[in-house]
This record gives sequence, structure tokens and C-alpha cells, in this order.
Amino acid sequence: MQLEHTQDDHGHGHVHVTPFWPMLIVFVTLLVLTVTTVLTAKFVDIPGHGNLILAMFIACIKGLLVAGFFMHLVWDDKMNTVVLISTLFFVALFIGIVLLDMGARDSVDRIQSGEIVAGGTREIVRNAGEAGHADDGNHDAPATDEHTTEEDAQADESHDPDH
Amino acid sequence: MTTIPDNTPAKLDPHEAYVHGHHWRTADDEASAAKLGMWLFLATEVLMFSGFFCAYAAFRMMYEGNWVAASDHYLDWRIGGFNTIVLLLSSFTVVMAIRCAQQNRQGLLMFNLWITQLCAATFLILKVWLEYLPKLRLGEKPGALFHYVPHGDYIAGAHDHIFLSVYWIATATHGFHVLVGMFVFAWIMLRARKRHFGPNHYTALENVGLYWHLVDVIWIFLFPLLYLA
Amino acid sequence: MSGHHDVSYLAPKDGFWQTVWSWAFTVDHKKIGVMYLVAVLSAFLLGGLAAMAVRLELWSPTMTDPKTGLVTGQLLTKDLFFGFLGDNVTPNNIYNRAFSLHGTVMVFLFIIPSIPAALGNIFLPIMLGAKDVAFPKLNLFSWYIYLFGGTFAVSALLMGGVETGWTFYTPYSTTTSWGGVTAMVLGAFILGFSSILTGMNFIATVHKLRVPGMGWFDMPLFVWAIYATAIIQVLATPVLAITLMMLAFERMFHIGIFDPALGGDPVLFQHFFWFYSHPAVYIMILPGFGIASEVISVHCHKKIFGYRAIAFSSIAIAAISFLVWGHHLFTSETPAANAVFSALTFLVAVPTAIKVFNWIATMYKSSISLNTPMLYAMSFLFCFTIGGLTGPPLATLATDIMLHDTYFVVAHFHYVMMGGTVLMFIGGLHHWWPKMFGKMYNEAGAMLGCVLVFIGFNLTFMTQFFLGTQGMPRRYATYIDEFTFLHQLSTVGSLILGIGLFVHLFVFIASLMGDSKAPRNPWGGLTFEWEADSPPVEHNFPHEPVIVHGPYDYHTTTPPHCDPNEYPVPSKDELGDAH
Repeated sequence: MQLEHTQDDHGHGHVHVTPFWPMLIVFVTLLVLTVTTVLTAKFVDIPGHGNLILAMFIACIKGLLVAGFFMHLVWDDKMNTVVLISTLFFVALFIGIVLLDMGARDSVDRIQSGEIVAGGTREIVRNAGEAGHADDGNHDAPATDEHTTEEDAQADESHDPDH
Repeated sequence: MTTIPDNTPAKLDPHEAYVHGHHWRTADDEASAAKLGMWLFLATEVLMFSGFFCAYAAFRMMYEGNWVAASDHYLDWRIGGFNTIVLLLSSFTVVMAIRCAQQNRQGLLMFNLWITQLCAATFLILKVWLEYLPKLRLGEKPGALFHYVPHGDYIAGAHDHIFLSVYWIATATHGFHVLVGMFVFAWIMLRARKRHFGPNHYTALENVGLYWHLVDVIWIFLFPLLYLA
Repeated sequence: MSGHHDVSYLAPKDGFWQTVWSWAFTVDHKKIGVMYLVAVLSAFLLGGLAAMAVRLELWSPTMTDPKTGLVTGQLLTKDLFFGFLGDNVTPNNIYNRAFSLHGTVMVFLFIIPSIPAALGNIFLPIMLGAKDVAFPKLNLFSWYIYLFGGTFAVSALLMGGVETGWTFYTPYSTTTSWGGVTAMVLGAFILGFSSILTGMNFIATVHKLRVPGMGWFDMPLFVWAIYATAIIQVLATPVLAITLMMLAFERMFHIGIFDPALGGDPVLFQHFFWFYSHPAVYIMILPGFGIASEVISVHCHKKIFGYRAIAFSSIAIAAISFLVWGHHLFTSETPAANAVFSALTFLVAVPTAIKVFNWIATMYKSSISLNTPMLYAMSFLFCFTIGGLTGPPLATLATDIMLHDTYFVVAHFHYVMMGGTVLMFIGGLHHWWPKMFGKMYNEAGAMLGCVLVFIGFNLTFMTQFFLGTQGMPRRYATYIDEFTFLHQLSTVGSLILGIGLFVHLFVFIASLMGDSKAPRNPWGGLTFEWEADSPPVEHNFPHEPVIVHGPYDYHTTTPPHCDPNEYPVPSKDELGDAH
């Protein structure tokens, strides 16, 4: 067995020596793209989310250049590319579905009616923290320290409808 | 793995005398498996950082106007941009280091690694000196620690502290990766000095390079998102 | 080096310390697997004791039993685990800590590493005909990470513990709970790295170390299952790591990402957490499927029905597992996400049902040897099918709103996790015990244990389906009187289950102490591990094995190293049209 493997038993059998000039071109392209990102973001105002989309588009091109050439994917075992692509697929899935949920918040009745307001502010915490020190019983404020009494935890447990 | 058998003539460099692990059928198998393993590790890194990107996207969606204003005020794109270029340069030198190993040019290999280390150090020093320390002094800290000391005519938004939370944890985690990279490159340089890398064998150098490029790619995305929002 | 080729991997070295050293710094995947086995079984014992404490507490509807005046549950929970907390902690709180101890230990320390890290480590390379996993040193490293993280987590749990359950939902875990959460979360973070490294190692091993001539469809199905598991481990676990890291920062610095009072979002935490933890459910169950495929084929002496369908369904489950996490958030996410996730969740049923039908089709008209592993495989089919079929009611939005956070959910996931994974883990232990340790076990004793486990398990959790549909919420220390009978029935069941597991423990210990030497191929299997010695030599095989038949070609091949008269090979007529 293992006959056809033995001839190049020592070392990388077929080394692809990294070429110099293509890599330098890639590097210069990356620099140019970086400057482009900064210039378009700072001095060009694209309406809507245009600036963000353009910046991400350029970043994706830069990422692909680094992955393809610097990280040798163009010449490598294709399995490594498969690993990268499936990774990006799951990242997209993760961020995409979370945003789908977060973005649909407006459609929830209790938010529309103003019963639930999205996002507290620091003022709320500061006020709650002071109130918490005043009556020594507010356990909703994260600014209070960890030594909440066990009775509080227990009360929270029994009143919390999610449990 | 890099043991030198006793019967090897003394004049052989370690990279020439390299013998693959006993459980491998060929050295090619070993090298390609190491690379695949590295890519799998990079996959975990990407997914880990995706948590930051996800939090960024979710909060940017919730607090769009506040978000852009905060990015504009708290972060200086010149530092971020310069650091981007520094990291890109270090990536290029790593590519050149691998080329030198493949061509057995040991001196130039070391030179490229030194440039890489220098870039990494520059990145971290700029980050800490020009960003982290002033931010700590001015109270531009994450979440409940946020205690903004007004300067200029900027009025703090209601959710600046959330932007800063994402900024701090994302850049600190990235900075930690740069720091780890410096340590790993230090190890690579020690080995390179003992001539462990050559045309026959440069797996470790190549894999550390892959890690370094990934750290670079993550910064390529963090930079426009945080500094140019 | 050549001297080791004929010595069992278990053989002690010349001196005591040399032997200890040879285990502590081994890179042999079998030794690492055995160390994992001991560790996960210890975790199982600890988690099991906490489960018993929870069940005993639920014996009576109130904290104090009206007849005896005894504070139920405190006997075990307070005196055994949390006695040093004194009287400062209310009994309710101790109950919370006990079920959290059970959940965290069972999930992070036992069930996730159980089959891949212990049995997978030992048998994956052997089944591929390899000498070791791809990265042996990394394998040892991930074992020490597991040990470190496990020690961290267990000490956090025992020195006060957490009362959040294993899910650490914010803002409860970040604001009101006791400080042990930070330590526990860091423990789980560390354990996650062990899981990631093991997964990476297995993927590289499967890709690069198959014996020459072994194609992807010549691999045993256990390898396919472990491969699919490893994909999830690599892709999902990092998200847990980042989630737990942010949770720890939230506790330490109040960074506000998950805190609504600071403008953060607790539902975001649930998304983050379940993006890992739902796929993690398949990290737990897929290896169990793999063992079921092995055990059923070997003990039925018949070619597995639909090899490719089983192999691909493993991969399909791994992929779909990432699409359904939102069904844990049906009561907290928006209707848009609800609709998407509900629809996607039903998809999981397809590959899972394919597997179940294939196993049953394999058993059809085969000559079954009713050994303990086969008995476990049949128990598994029964329990797992119940667990699977109670999934659709939970995937249906309308019914889930009713059943959410009730005992129905508790029963459902115990039928899948315990009835699926744990039963197959014990079945696999019996199946490979002779190979791992070179000793046979007492068949009658093991059978008795299996029957007790089966009865006890079903009594414990079948009752909980009824409790759930009647409205008993999970994680409550007290309940209304009407539930008393079903709760007591469940507690009795858990005692029987516990006794059954201890019977197995005694059978295993007796086997190790005894001298009933195991033959090379006690069940008549065809995969590579049955060609190795029992127990295998240091590098698994004296010579690299040659692949001459498929892993399940019972219709054409007589199993090696065993009496052909003992294991009748069905003729073509008997097989009928099944192939």
C-alpha cells in the first residue's frame, strides 16, 4: 500500500513559490482601496445607506484580495476555500436572521402603541441607581453592585412571568 | 516534530533534515492537514468576530443617527486609517517572508519578520497611546462606565455608550489578537534564526501567516464600520 | 519505537510514576479518550446527583412535607452541595441552584464531550485505519483545557453555584444573580475551546488520514456522524465563546450590550446564545445517531439500509441545525422571525426521520443478536422517536405558546438528550467495552441495568409530558396539590433510573476487576476496529490495515477473527428485496 505516496516523502512535493510582482500589485491595490474608502466616506455623501454599502463593498473586495492571494487560496487545496465560504455563509445567516428579527420590531403591537419603548438611556440607569440607593431595594439597576439580597432574587424569580 | 535524527550529517539545516510525524503517510499529507486545521481555526475566529459585527449591526439599526454622530466624534479616522496601512504592510511582509523561506533566503526572511513585528508594535502603540489612554482620561468608556467630559461643541447622544461598548470590545479583542500574533511571531523568529524554515518545510510560518492575514482582514472590516460610519 | 507495536496501549510502564507520566503526557488518542471517558462519567455522576436532588425536592408540593415536617430536597441539595451557605439562602434559591448545577454540568461537562471526545477519540482513528488523530499534541492540549475548564466550572458551581439555569438569560444573569455566574461563564468559555479543538482535529483526521483506498462512502457511519458533529463544533461554538465573553463583561463592567436599562437588548442575548446552543443540541445527538448505525448493523448482522441516506442526513442535520435557533425565542422575538423559524424547524424532522426509517429497515428480516448494545439501540429507537415526535408540537407556534417553559419541554428534551444520546452512549460503551479494555462484561447484569434504565427513564419523563400539558411550569420549586401524584411517579421513576445506572457501573467495575478476556471480534463486526487487538496496540495496528470490503458488507463477507458458525450470514433469499 501507500505506493504512490513514497516518492515525495520528504517535504512539500510541489511547492508553489509565492510570486513577487503579483503580490506587490495586490498590496498596492489594497492601499489604493483603503484611500478610496476614506475619501468616499469623508468627502462624498451618497444618500440613504449608500456610504455604508460602498464602504462594505470595498472592504469585501479587500478581504477577497487578501484571502485569495496573501492567504494563497487561489493556488491551494480547494477544501480550504470551501471552509471559508461555508464560514461566510453561516456568518451571513447569523447576522441576517438576527437583523430580520430586530428590524421587524416596529410591527409589534405593544411597541406601536408605545407600551414598550426601545432602548433605555444612561439617564434611566443613573436615576434608577440613585433611587435604588434611596430605598435600597431596586434590583433592576445594573449599576448597583452584586450584593443583591437573596430575598430580592427570590422575589424576582416568583414575579417574573418568563419563568 | 522537528527532531533531528542522530545519523544526519551535521551540515544539514533543520528544515532540510525535517522528518514528518510518524502517524502521517507523507510530509505532504502532514502539511496540507496542518493548513486545513489552520483554516478551520480561522473559521472559528471569523464566527467569533461575527458576534461583534452582529451587535454592531443591531445597535446601528436601533440608534442610526446617534451612531453616526458618535463615530464621527469619538474616533479619529486618521489613526484608524494609518493603522490600516500599517497592518496591510505587515501582511505583505509576511507574504514575502514565506517567499523567502521557499527560496531559502534566510537573511531576508528574518528581515521581513522584523518588519512585521515592527508594524504590529506600531499598531498597538498607536492604538493604546492615541486612542485608549485619552479615551479613558475623557471618560469615553463603555456602557455604565461612560462618563463623558464635554470637549468641543459636541453634545453626547443618548446611546453613545453603546457605540463605545461595541468599539471597546471589538477593538480590544482585535488588539488582543494582534498581541498574540506578536508572541507567535516571536516564536517563529526564534525558529527562523535556527533555520527551521526552508523550501522543504515551512508549515508553521505559513500557518502563522494565515492567522496574521485574518487579523488583517478583520481590521479591514472594523475600520470603515467604526471609524467611517 | 518498534518495541511498542505489539504492546497494548493499556499496558503499564516499568514503574508507577513512569505509568502516570505515560498517561499524563500521552499523545495516544486512545489514552486521551479513556481519560475523557473517566471525566465525563464523573460529570455524569455529579449531574445525576443534582437531578436526584431536584426530583426529591419535588416529592411534595410545598417546601416542607406536611406529614414528616421534613424540608424536602434540602437533604440532598443543601447538605450535599450547598451546606456551607448556611441559613442565609432560602430553600427556593437552593432549588434554583440545584437544577442549574444539573443543567450546566450535564450540558457542558457531560453530554457535549461524552461521545465525540471519549468514544470518538478512541474509535475515529481506528475506524479510518489511522495511527492517531491528525494533531495528537493538540488533542492532549484540548483534554487539558477540558480538565481546566471543567474544574473551573465545577468549583464555581459547588462554591455557591448559579441560579440562572444553564441558559444564563440576561438581565437576570447580569444583574440579580449571585457572582458565581462570572466564574461559571468563564468555565463554559474554556470548555468551548476544548470542544472547538477536538472538532478541528476530527475534521482534519477524516480528510487527511483515511487509509489509502478508503473513499468517503467507505467510511463507517459513526465517522460520518462525528464528522458532522465536528462541523457544528467548529462553526457554532465560537459564537458561544463571544456571547459568554460579553456576558462576563456585562457583569464586570456593565457594558450594556444585553442590558435594556442601558439601551442594550436582552433578546439579542437570546439570539446569540441559541445560535450556538441550538446547533449544540445536534452536537449532542448526532454522535448518538452514529453509534446507533454501528450497533444496529453489527448486531443485526446485516448491511445497513440506505448507507448514503444516513450519511447525507447527518450532514443535512448539521446544516439545518443552524437555521432553527429562533424556535427557542417564540415568546420573545417578532412575528416575522417566528414565522420563518417555525417553518424551518419542521425541516429537521425530515433527515431525522430518514435515519429512523433506515434503522428500522435494517432490523427488518435480519437475524438480531439481542445483546445489551442492541437492547439499548432498540430502547433508543423507542425513546428517541417519542422525543422526536413531541418536537412538532413545539415547532408549531400556536401550541408552543401554551407549552413554552412547561414540563412538556423538559420531557421533550430529556427524551431526545437522555433517551437519544445517553442511551446510545451507554449502548456504545457496551458495544466497544471489550475493544477498549479487552475484558467482557457480565451480560445478565448489563441486561438488568438496561431494563431498569428503560423503565425508570420512561416513568420519569413520560409523566412530565402530562404535567406539562396540564400547565406545570418548569423551574418551579413548589406546585399545586393536583400535580402531586404525577410528580411523585416521576420521582419514583428517577430512582429506578438511578439504580439502573449504578447497576451498569458495578458491571463495568466487575468487568475491569475480572479476567474474562475479550476476543478480537465479539459481535462479528466488519469495521476496522474489530481487526485490531482487544485492547489495541500502541499505534492501533501492527501493520497498516488494507481495505478489502465495505464497513457493512455482511451479505458478502464473513466477519474476521470470529467463528463463522456463530454469526449466521443471511442468504440472498433471506434478504429478499431489501437491497
